[in-house]
Amino acid sequence: MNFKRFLILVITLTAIAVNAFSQTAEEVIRKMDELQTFDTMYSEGTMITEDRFGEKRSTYKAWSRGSQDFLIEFTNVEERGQKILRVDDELYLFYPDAEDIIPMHGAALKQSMFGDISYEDITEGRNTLDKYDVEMIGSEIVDGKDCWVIEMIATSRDVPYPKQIVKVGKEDYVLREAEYYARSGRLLKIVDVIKVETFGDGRLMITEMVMADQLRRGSSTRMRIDTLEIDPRLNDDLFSLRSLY
Amino acid sequence: MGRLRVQRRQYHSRGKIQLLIGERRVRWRTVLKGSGNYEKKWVVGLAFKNLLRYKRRTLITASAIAFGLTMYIWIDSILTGAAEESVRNLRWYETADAMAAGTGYMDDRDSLPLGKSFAWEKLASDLEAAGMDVTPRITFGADMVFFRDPYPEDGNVPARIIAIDPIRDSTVFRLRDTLGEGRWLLEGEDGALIGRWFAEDIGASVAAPIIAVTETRDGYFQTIDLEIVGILDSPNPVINREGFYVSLDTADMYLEMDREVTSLYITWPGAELGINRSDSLVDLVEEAGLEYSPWDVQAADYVAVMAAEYSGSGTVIFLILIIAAVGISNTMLMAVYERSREIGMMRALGMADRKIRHMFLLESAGIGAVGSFIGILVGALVNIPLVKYGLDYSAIMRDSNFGYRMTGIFYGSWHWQGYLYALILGIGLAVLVAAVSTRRILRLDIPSSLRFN
Repeated sequence: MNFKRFLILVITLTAIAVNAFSQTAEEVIRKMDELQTFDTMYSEGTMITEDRFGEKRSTYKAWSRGSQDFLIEFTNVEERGQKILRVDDELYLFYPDAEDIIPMHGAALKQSMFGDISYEDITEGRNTLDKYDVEMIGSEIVDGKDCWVIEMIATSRDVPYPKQIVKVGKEDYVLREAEYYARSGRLLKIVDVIKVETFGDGRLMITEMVMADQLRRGSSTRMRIDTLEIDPRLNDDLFSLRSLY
Repeated sequence: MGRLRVQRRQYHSRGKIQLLIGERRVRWRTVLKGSGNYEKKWVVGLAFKNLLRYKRRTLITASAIAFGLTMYIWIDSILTGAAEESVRNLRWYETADAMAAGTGYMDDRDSLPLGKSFAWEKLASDLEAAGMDVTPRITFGADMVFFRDPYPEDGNVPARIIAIDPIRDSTVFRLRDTLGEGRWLLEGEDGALIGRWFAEDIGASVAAPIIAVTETRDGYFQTIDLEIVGILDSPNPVINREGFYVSLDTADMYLEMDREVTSLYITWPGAELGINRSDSLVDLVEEAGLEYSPWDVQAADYVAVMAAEYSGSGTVIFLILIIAAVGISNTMLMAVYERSREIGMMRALGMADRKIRHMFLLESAGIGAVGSFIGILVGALVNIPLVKYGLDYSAIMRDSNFGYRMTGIFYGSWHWQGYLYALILGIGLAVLVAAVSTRRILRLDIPSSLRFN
C-alpha cells in the first residue's frame, strides 16, 4: 500500500515537473525571442569565414523591421552593392553587375550566403514557438553561464532544421549556444555566442557569434556587429524591391 | 559508223585536229539533219576523248576533288558515328526511350524538385501489361561530404544523386554493364555507385564512406551516410563525371518519399529501330495525371547542342569543299582557256555554243566522277580503321564533352548517305566550276577566241 502511494506520488510529481518544464521552455523561448526582436534596427558588421583555403572577410550594413523583414547590403570592395532583401516571406538577391533581382526559392535557399551561413539560416525569423515544439531537457553551464537546455522539434515545414538544441542563459534569457541537427539526427552546425552587449533601454544584444559547420572540418563563420542602432526611423520603401536598385 | 570510227582514230592524232574538225563539220551538218541521238553520242564521245587526251590535267583536277571528298567522308563519318553513339549512350544510361513525370517536373527539373513526385506502381503495371519495361528513379541534389583518410583530404562537392531500383533498373538502363570495380547495389543497403572520373576527382575508392547532405521532400536538412560499393566505367561521360547512384529504398527512407518517385523511365522492344509506341504511351501516362517526355525532349539541351555543332561542322565541310573548289576551278579554268583556240575553231566551223558548253560540262562531269570515285574509295579505306579503332580524344573529353555523350574514342560510321552526297557534290562542283569557265570563254567573239593566249 505504501509502495502504491509512493508510486502515485512519483507519477504525479513527474507529471507536474514535466508540465512545469514544458511551460518554462516555452516561456524561455518566448522571452529569448522578445529580447532579440526590435521594431526597427540598423547595424553595421563584419562576417569572417575561415576554412582550409584561408580567411575571407565581408562587411555589411543591415536594416531590419520586426522579426521578419530585413535588408542587407554588402560594403566590402569585392561584394560592394550586393543586397539581400527579405520581405513578405520572400527572399531576393540583387547583384549590381547584373542589375537584376533574383528571387530565392526551394533548394536555392540551402546555398551558402556567406561561409557556413545559408540563406535559410537568416530567414527563420524569431517567432520560434510557431514553428517548433519546445521541451526543457536540462541545464548546462556554458562559458560560465548557467543555461537552460531546450530541445526544439520542428512542427512547420518552413524551417530547414528539424531539430535544434538551444542553450539559453537562466539569468538574461540570451542564447548562448545552439546546435542544429539533420533529420537523421546528425549534428550539422553549432552556434557559439561570443559577446553580448547592453544597449539603449538596457536590453541585451548578441554582438558576436561563431557558426561552425560540423561536416566541414575547420570551417567556421564569425559574425560581428560593429555598430548598432535600435529603433531608428526607417522608411517603409527600404523594404521593397525598389530599394534594391 | 565505220567512217566515224576512222575519224575517231584520227582524232587521237593531235596533228590532224583541224582536218578532223573539218571532216567533223561535214559530218556535223549531216548530224544536224539526221539523228539527234547520234549528235548526243558524238558530243559525249568527244568529251570522253578529251578526258583521256588531257590525262595529267584530268588526274590533277580529279585529285583535288578526291582530296576534298575524302576529307568530307572522314568528317561525316566521325560526326555521324559520334551522333549515333551519343544518342545510344543517352538512351542506355540517361533518358531511356521515354519518361513519365509529375506535371511541371520537366520545366523545373534543374532545381531537382522532390515535391513533384508521384506513386508509380499502378502506372508501371499498366505499362508492363502493354509490353513495355519500366523502372522508377528519384533524382535529388546533395552536397557530398568526405574526410581525410581514406580520402586524400577533407572536402565537399555538390552532386546530383539518382536513386535506382537495383533489380528493375537493368531492364531499362545498361548501367549495371558498366560496373568497373566493386559490386552492384543491393536493395535496402546504404551503398552508392560512383562514376570513375568523379571517384578519381575526390579520391574515392570502393568501401570509402561518404555523407550526402540533402533535404527531405518536406525541406528539412537530411544526411545520409553511404558507403561506396562500386565504381562505374561508362561509355557515357556524364555518368563517369557526375554519376552517383543509391538504392531506391535508401532514398525513399531518408527523403521521406512515401514510396513515391520523381520519374518513371520506359523502354520498349524495337524503340532503337524507330518503332514508335508514343500514342498508346501518352494515353496511359496522361490518364495517370503525369507528363510524357520522349528521350529527345528530355535531352533537349543535347539536341540543341548537336544542331549547333552540326551547323558548325557543316561550315568546316563547306570550307574544305571551297578549298577543293578553288583547286578544281583553277585546273578547269586552265583546261578551258588553253583550249580557247580549239573552241574558237569549233565555233567558226558552225558548232553551236550550246553543244560546246554541253561537251565541256560533260567533260568536267567526267573529271568530277573520276575524282568522286577516287575520293569515295580512299574515304572508304580511311574509314575502315576509323570504324574499327576510332580516334582517341579521351584526354580532351575528360574535362569537356562538347555535348557528346562519349568518353573519348570517336568511332567512324558507315554513313552511306554521306557517300552519295560526296558523289553528287564531286560531280556537281566540277560541273558548276566548268560552267562558269566555259561561259566566260563563250562570251568572247570567234576571232578573239582564235587569238586567245
